[in-house]
Amino acid sequence: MQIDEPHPQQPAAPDPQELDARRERVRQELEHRFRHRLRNHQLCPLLHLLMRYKLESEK
Amino acid sequence: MSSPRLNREQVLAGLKDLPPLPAVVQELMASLGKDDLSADTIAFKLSRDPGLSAKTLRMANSSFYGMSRQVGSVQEALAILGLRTVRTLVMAVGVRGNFEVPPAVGFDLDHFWRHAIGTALCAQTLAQETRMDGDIAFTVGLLHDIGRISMACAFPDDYAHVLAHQREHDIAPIDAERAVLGIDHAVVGGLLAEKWQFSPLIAEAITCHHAPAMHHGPGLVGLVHLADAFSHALGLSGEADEVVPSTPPDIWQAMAPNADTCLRMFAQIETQFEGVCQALQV
Repeated sequence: MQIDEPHPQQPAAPDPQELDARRERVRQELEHRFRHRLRNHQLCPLLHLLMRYKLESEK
Repeated sequence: MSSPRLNREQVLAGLKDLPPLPAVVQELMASLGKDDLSADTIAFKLSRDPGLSAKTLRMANSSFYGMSRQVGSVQEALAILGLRTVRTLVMAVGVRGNFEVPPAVGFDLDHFWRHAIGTALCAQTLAQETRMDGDIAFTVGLLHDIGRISMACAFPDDYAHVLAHQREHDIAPIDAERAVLGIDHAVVGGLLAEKWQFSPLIAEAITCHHAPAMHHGPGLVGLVHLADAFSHALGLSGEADEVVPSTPPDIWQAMAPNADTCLRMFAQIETQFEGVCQALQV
């Protein structure tokens, strides 16, 4: 009888739908913080950097 | 809205009633940027204020500093953490303990101090990137909104109107202060900085942190302005409706680090932030 070696525990890959939902939440939070500037159509290099930082850390 | 409006003289009279900054803190503040401060001098100054010494030791023993054993004296803290760290720590502890806002005002002290600590860390990190003095940057970051809390302490009823106006119109605190009181926290913070005899450099940075202009040069004013924006952008205060202030493009061009550096800074600041908050019991 062959006994399978136990597989080492792998971190579960994030559910793509859950990941999308989390990223959407981050996007909304950031846009809320920058709402006055977005309302006035101001350029926001800081918003783009934060978006990149937060979305990358959600991967 | 019937607007209670404050003039400069009324503000100065109100600030007189605030408790004075502990003498040690004031003396250490004056020593910023100078190299002639010794560990013995700090230990001696602190020995005159047992309450502040105890709070400083409690902070030095917090998990943020990762001590392997309990630090029992200011001298020991100075030997292990170093003079500059202890000086920053004493100033942070001293200023933090100096303000009591009546709860009825609705001023959220936790949000306030979390934003102040966040801005201090952002300023210190930006200073490292721009080769400026990290201790001065940390201190100015911590104190940049000192006018807000001092107005809430000195004029609690008026400041309750400011907060209501801000919520009702979804505007920044500075705009609500100007609309309701006719004066804002940057100006009041500058007046307090003068009253407490901070250096003109620090007073200017507090006064101008919402309106940096290139005539200030790419210096402390621009640095604390950017640090304030970074701290709001990272959402460090924990306040649901915080607003990131607008940065003049020329200040961004002159002072903001490049994108990769900013991303590294954000991670570094977020890693340190909760530890400093815990150490300061915020």
